[in-house]
Amino acid sequence: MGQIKDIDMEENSEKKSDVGEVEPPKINPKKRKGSYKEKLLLMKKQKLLSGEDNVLAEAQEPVQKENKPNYALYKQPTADELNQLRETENLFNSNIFRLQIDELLGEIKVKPKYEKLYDSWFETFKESFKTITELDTIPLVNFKNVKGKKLSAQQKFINQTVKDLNHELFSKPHDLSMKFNKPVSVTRMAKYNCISSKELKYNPSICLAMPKETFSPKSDFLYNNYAIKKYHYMVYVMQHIKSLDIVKEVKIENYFGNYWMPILTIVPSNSEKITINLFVVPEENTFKIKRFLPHNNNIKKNILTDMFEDVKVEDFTNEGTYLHNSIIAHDTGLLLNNSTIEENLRGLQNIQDGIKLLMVWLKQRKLNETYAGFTDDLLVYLIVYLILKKKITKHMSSYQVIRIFWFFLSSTQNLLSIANTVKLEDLSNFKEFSHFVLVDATGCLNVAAFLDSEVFIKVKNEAALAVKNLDNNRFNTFTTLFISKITFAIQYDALLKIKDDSNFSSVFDGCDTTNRFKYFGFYEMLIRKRVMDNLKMGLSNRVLEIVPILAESTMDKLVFGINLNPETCLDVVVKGPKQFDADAAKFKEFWGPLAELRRFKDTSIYEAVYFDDAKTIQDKRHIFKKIIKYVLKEKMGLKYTLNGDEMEKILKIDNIVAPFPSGSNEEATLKIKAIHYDMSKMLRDLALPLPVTAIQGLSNVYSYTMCYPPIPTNTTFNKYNVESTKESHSLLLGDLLNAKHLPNYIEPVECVIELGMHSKWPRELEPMRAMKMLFLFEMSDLLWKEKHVRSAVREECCIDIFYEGLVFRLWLHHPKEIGYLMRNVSADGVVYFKDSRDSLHVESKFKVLPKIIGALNGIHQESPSFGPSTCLIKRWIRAQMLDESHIPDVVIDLLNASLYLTPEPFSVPTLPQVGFIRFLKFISEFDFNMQPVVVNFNDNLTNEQLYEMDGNFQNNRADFRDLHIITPYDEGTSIFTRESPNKDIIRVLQLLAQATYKHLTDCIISQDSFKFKSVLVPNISEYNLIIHLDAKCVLKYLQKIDCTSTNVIKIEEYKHDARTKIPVVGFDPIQIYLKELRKNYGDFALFFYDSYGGYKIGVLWRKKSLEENDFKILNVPARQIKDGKLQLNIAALIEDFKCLGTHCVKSVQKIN
Amino acid sequence: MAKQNNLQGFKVITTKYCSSSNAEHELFIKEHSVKNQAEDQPIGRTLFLINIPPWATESALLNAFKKSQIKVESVKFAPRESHDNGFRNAFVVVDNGKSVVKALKLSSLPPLSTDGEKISLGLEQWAKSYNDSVNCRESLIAKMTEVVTNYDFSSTKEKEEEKNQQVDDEGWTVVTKKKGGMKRTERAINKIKGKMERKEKALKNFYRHQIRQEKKDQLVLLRKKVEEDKKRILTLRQRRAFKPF
Repeated sequence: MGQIKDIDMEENSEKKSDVGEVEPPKINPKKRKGSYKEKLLLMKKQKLLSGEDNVLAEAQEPVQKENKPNYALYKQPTADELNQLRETENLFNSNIFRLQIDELLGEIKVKPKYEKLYDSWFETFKESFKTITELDTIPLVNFKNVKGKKLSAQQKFINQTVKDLNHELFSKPHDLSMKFNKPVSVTRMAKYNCISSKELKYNPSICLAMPKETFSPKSDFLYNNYAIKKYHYMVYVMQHIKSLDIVKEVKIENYFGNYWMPILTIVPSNSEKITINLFVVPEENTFKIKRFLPHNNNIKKNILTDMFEDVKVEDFTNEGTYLHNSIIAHDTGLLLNNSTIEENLRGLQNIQDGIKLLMVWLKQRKLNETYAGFTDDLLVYLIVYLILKKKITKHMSSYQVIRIFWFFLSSTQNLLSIANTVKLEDLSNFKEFSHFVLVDATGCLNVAAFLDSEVFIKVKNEAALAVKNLDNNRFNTFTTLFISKITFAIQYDALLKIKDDSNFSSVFDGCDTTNRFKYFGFYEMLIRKRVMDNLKMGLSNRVLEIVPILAESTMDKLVFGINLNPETCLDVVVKGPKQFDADAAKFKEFWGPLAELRRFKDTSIYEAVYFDDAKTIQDKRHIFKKIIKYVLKEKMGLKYTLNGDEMEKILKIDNIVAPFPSGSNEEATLKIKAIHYDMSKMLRDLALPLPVTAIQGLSNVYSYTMCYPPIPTNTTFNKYNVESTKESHSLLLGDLLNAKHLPNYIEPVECVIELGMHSKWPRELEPMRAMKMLFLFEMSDLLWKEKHVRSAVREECCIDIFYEGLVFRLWLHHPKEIGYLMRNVSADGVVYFKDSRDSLHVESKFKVLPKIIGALNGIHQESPSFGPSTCLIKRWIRAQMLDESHIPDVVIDLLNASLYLTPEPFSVPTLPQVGFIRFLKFISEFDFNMQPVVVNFNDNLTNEQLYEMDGNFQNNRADFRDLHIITPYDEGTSIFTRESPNKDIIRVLQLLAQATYKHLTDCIISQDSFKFKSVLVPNISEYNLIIHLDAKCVLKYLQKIDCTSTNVIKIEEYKHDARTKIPVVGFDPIQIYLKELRKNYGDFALFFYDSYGGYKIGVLWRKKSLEENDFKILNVPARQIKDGKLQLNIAALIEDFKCLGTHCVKSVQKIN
Repeated sequence: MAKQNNLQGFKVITTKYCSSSNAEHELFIKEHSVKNQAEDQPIGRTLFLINIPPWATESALLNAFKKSQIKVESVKFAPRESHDNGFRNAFVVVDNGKSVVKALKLSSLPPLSTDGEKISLGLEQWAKSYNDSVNCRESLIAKMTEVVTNYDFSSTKEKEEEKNQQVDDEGWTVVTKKKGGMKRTERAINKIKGKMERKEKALKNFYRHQIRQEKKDQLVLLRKKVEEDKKRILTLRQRRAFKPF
């Protein structure tokens, strides 16, 4: 690249002055004296322009310019530009990623205006402390209101102060006395973790040091003296601040909700956009910091009698008070730590940017909430550590910083120290108390002391996911990492809420005193740990993460997010230790009556728990619920609610009883697949002129995404609606008009037959199709003769085979057929091939679909929640009265598949419901106009190919479908979305998804009962007409949400009987009716229907057809003449809808 | 009547499905006369009927006209076009010019579906077509066999003809140019075109100016990409895609 600079300067400057956008080109050669080269160029130019009348005028026209190369692109690069281009290549993922980072940083940058305001404010603020009133030693018991006329200055002060002394622990009178002297220093703290935006305030910090005299160095680190005195001093400072007119508001708050770490928050009077945190800390060398190492006991005796009344503190003077120590150590070391941060980060813009990006990342995942979360302070400390360890250097870009941070975090050893004096043994001392250790600059404080271990694991997992996401380097990588809000409602498979009105006293009672002491002052941490330990013991490797949702947890409530382990969560056995093993007793004690000795296949005997009533996959998915119930309810006596599987109910129709145990669709699907396998074998064995090589699935049964698969059973013969003739293999429909019921709907399972190669097929379309039909007839005859299997060839060139209680519909496809359908002859006799509607239909159905179905099946095998979650999505979309013609089933399958193939920012869901909710989020947020949906099965498409396709899409958006799906199998044509969904349907779907998503997540967040039925009820008030259908014709009525029918249909098990004929198959009058409506009236109206048992068809007139038009033959259809204008003949159309659906339509209702 | 002039010579004629229907369709009718009129649409005897509802049949229309005392010879739907909706147009051929005038005077046709000549719609019709689609074995086999045999026949006939051509009665063989050569397909033509356009082989990075140009082009490519990305960011920004909170 450096060599580019060598480009001749003359040539370039020449071009610049010549065609630069500012100056009009000088063309007249006579006026110019230039080098030979210049002359040549000018001559060339004249040549170009020769033939034009006015050379000058033409040259100035912009139209002319367009034909020339864009010289702006050829101009001499500056050093800066070269650097930037090179940097992008080396230091950032991609150009667009870099630009996106810049945009985001611009959005969250603290505006210089506020910085200035704050700077000037701070100076005045600092000055003011010079004049703070000082008070001599006062016993704290004296802090009470005294009335009187002549009060001393001290008493006046006390009277003022008492109002603000309202801390429930620290403001009680104690036997202590202290001095109130002016602070020794007021320091601005490093503000590298400050971001602000419209919603976010600028939040800088100040550190104020209390003078040494405030504390007695010998005793005040003991008991809770420090906390009490600090609190009083804070109130003292607050009185002073209140009196300043540069302050609008000041109050005492708990830092990140930490009860033991109060700070002052100040809102200055010159801007409401700024909130300042004021830390009050002891002056340097007030205490020996070594006292606060984790193993030291600094309580000795409990003087805060409100808590831990039953803990006899004196007995445990040797137990380390780790958490309590950490509080004082934090304050003591704050100034030193601050200067360490300042030293290491000052002037390093890229690293500071990296910190800000990481803060956004944490914030979107809500992992930095409360003091037990991964706080912003901790983040800065960790970055400082990485700088000190030279893992991050000042030359790195912000992109590299975040990448290294994530990579480090995901693989870290958990024992780190900023101070280089700390030895490894000392570090392991910390380890005993805390899962993750990061020792600060003083060497005595673990800055991650309060970090919940499970939250830390979660952050680690998220970091690993982020690295993976960066490596994938997709277009939406940036959005998923930094922009998407990932609330806890969609982060976890299941959410567990435990509520206990007595603040979990029963749990606390179960804790031993050592632990009680260790967690002194942090009662809720102890409770959380205890509940968590029990849950983990019960669920063990069934779960990947159990993460406490800290922001939602209070003293009387605990919330956990649970992510199941897809590999083990379906196991029906909890395998314990071996019989007589040391741990066996423990296992038995934990599981109580559930534990039993079991002999395993390898004859070894283990303690185990066996969930024998889990017959279906749905049941197995719910085993974790049983375990939680046992642990929480039966063992710990806690009340809880568990969200995560409520919606699965709609996947199982209770009114239909299958002959085998069945839950959601998996069991029926497996059954069908098994029968399919047998049938394929049978067909391959047939002595046909051409051997059958394979039968590939076309139906979405084969990808586990059919909501209610057909259940194999005997043909029911009902003489009222079905007729039988001797010669035919099939049953026929009888006199339906007088029959009470129509025959049950039986869904054909569609497949395509693949035949061996043969060169003698006719080379024209019609004869080839005829040949195919004859082949099918031959097959049909053979099946009956050799196997006694009934089958019927249908006009559409397929064969229905009745096998083992199922009807398979097999299509015969010849690869050349597509070519014949595409063949066209142009006017001058040239043969050309062009996609036609028919050819695309055949190609999509027989060439692409089988591959897609196969690949989808692969996804389900890998993540068994794929099938049921897709079914939930389908059921929801259909419930909105959007059917196959608005958005085809396979498109829904593909959309959901895209979420399983690239689940970032999540991991693949293990429970279907959360998959469904994430799908809603995806649909409502995805910009279908800007981006294609990528479904890269098995990573068949390389990154380069994807980039090319994406670029193509971006540059020629209008040439692509409204919803463009890239798969490896259709050469970028998005073959399944060519007719639908269109923009309007996508928009409707997005709006519906938004509303549904909001409702469901609100339900989860507000933690009321999870009400989902309302999202499955369509809004019909928007339609122009409602066609009410006759209940008799709605054959799928049992699939309706909230089906009120009490009919229970018990399906018999299939028994082979050669006499039974092929039942009436695929006959759904409503579907035929809809097809006719759309075919005949689709130009004038849109039709909406819930294909799972809806009783209503919604009709919406097309806007265009409602317009009044002048009389023209093209405009005439469906119109009537009114006042000389053409108008839609609505009355006649309504009448038509009725006629067309004779015996099927009850009434047509006009709405608006 | 003045209004009717606006309708490009068409007159309104109403009809409905059956006697109990509540609303009527408005059909438009006029005498059919165009430059090259087809043979089965004789001049002066043909009417052009448009906006026929989807459920109507040719025979039902024929009957309806007959009931209105007009002697109709035939009613034929105009062929469908690919983007058609359900509404159709038809040519009505009557016996003579008088009937044309008479027909144009009609203001309505009787209901198309009557007890005698029912246009069956809905469930009944669907059941029938289902049964037809299942119960079609014999006729289908016959039809398909015919197609296949026809195909075989025509392809062998061609070969025979070719042979016949080559040897005449006196034993002379007419030597013709061998058939074959390039197929006139798009691909073949493109291939030839591509051959013609193919450029000479030449070194592209031999002269200094070529090397320089190459580097410049690279730079331009990079810059172009940057510009594209910037545009993309711009559109994203307009959509407020960078507001994290």
